Amino acid sequence: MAVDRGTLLSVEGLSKAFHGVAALSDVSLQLCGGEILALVGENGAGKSTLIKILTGVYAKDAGRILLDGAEVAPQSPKEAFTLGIGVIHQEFHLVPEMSAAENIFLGRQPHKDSVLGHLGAIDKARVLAKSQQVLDDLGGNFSAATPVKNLGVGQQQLVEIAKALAFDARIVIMDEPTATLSSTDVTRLLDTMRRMKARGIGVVFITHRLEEIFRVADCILVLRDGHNAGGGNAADLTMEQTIAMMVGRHLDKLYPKEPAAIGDVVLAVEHLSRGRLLRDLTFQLRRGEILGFAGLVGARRTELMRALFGADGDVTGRILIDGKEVTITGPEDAVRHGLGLVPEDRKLQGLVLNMSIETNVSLACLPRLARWATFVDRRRERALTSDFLDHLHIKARRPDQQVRFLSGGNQQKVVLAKWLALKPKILILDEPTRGVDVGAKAEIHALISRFATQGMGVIMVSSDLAEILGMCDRVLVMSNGAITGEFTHDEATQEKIMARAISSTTLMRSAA
Amino acid sequence: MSAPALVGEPTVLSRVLAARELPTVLAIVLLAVVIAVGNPSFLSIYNMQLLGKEVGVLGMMAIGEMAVIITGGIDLSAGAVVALTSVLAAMGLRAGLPIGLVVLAVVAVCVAIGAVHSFFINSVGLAPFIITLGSMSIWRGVVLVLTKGYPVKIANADFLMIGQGSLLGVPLQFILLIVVAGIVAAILIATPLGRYIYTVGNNAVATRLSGVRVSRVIAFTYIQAAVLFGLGGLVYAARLGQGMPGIGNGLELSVIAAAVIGGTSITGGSGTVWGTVIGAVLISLIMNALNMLRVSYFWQDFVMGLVIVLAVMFDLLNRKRRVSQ
Repeated sequence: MAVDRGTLLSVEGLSKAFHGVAALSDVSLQLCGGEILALVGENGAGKSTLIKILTGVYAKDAGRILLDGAEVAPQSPKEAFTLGIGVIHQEFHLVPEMSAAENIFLGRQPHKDSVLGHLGAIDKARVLAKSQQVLDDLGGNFSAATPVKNLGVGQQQLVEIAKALAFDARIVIMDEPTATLSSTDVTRLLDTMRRMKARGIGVVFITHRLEEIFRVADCILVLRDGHNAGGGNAADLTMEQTIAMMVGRHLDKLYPKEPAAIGDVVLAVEHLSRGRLLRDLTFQLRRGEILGFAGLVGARRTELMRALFGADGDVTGRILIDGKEVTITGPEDAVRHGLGLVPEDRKLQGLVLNMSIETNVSLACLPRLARWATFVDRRRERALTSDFLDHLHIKARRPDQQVRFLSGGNQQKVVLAKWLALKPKILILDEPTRGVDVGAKAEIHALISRFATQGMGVIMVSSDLAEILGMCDRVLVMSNGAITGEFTHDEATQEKIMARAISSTTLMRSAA
Repeated sequence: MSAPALVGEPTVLSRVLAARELPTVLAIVLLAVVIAVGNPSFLSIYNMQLLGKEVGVLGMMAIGEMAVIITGGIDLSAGAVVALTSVLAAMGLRAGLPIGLVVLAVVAVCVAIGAVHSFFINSVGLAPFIITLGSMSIWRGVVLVLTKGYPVKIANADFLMIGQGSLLGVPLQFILLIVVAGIVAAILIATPLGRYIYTVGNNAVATRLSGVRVSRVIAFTYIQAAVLFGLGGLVYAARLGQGMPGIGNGLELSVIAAAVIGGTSITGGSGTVWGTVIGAVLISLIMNALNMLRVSYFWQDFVMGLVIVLAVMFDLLNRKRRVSQ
């Protein structure tokens, strides 16, 4: 098949803002047929916004999208698909009980040519033949009649790709397709991408794993804070240069952290493992210290925090609090030993949204508010809540107002209040400022800093590198369930952290 | 510490109008008027006592069911547990055991039944619907095996007082309801356990991640439900003067209906003892109406099904309205 080298897709000056916050500004790119373009950037750099505009999920604010030189503006994913733009998402959208072929043609089955076809009869032979042909072209070595539930992850992904190609997609966008794959499946997928390239298809490849990019991509486009941050031919770039473009200049340290006296070791974790998810983690936390956990999405930092808190079972290794070994088999043990967890998803895991602020604030310390160990002292509960409303500047009308009516920042402060009411020794914060507006973010940072000065040991997981650099006394970097780097506040830079966060063995060796 | 400023404290009138029980109370009043007009003997002391007995036993069991439903669960075993305990009590009394021991043994059996339910829900991960449905069939089967299908007569006159006695004209089982309602209301309103029952129903994950042993909260609700069903079984046995293998057929529906009509959300998270008692009054009144207005007994199941569908539908509409607000 002849390789088409003409420009297929051209994006010029694309911009998009949400509620006045720019997610994408003036981004341009070119994609030729038979080319693999790698799109890279940190979390929040604007990759998904760009993809969602290209596939008609979001409407653009400004800029032009040209397909074969003609301007297009897809209004829905379906329209984008008709234009020949297919997307492969990280999660699959397959029906396990149906065959690969049926999945490929789901909702778009060709009808028989005979009279029966007009009555809705599906041409199963054609479905099977066409599916098999597309799968074979992609290098799949399985029958299209196989039920999807009997296929491996890599094979299922092939079915997803075939869904796009069976309908003549000319541009295939792959959104972190390797995130859930084993290394052999990754190798096969990269091979599939080369086959698509040979058929003249333009591929946009999004991944956090830079080494994959250098194995397969022709060009690289780096996004940072919604802008074009550089790129070029993959052959002309090194991995280090690419990382430098992703991270960019040093952000100004916007987070003036109060100095806190660093005390004794309050938490020691030794050889903590959980199946294949968490691998042999050892670290310590001191009183007054803010310990940051950096890493990319999927580094399993949340899994580590949940393991420490006893939220999931089958954890091995030792946990020592104040030098004494403790057994944590459930969150109630963690709480008893002085741990608090502000979880990643505050609406689903941190708050009882339909109940009052007071109910949420007192939830963890309720037995302590009980008279004769039986009846909740409502006056003390109300007083405690009012106290926190004042001290944490929670903007609420009344203590018995339902939490769901509060803003994100105020909701997060209610979660903080719940733990502060218990006076924990160790507070674990998982993405404490995610989805919180700028003003509340600064307030929450000030509060975290204050907890540390009061002698609490604080663990902070954040995907916001600037926050990690600004707030933490020490930073641990995780990748793929293991700790891959440690930096003091003064040593830490975005480049160093990113280098350790990207799971690349070659890079690890060159850094060592 | 100054008193917290309370902005926009709702007035008494607005609370009454917003109460979820209001439609039920209105329905009760309306229905009572209709029956009284249709059959004046509705207002007779005899009928009122009959109604009081029915409300007493149904309300007590509905309160047990309500606590389970608040946590987001369901217990379908009410009728079967009633049959089992009524038969066990009759057999115990026939064997000459003292009343105190019989009651104690029945309560112990019910604690075990509730514990088994919660074990399968917490540790095995079965849906409450499945385990209690299976349990219902199992206890019905046990009852048939124990009795071979024949009723077991009760001769102990003191025991019969539980179902037939009254104090100052008030049936004892209605007094029992008031005591049970008071205890469960106190637990729900004033203790940490009661608070957890509501937070588990609203968000079990967040409750667990706050250090609460959610499995214990759930265990408590299933155990108290089974115990209250069991007390219901004792009352029925005493009322009828025998342990009847076939008793309580379909009772689980009435019990669930009373809880839901009383404002207990079928998806969990909310419900009150007061509302559930009101719900039991309405259900009992509907059954009483069928008798009073000489509607065939055979329509009872039909009406009960209709009532539960309507109640759940209103609950659904109510929630949609709240969400859209």
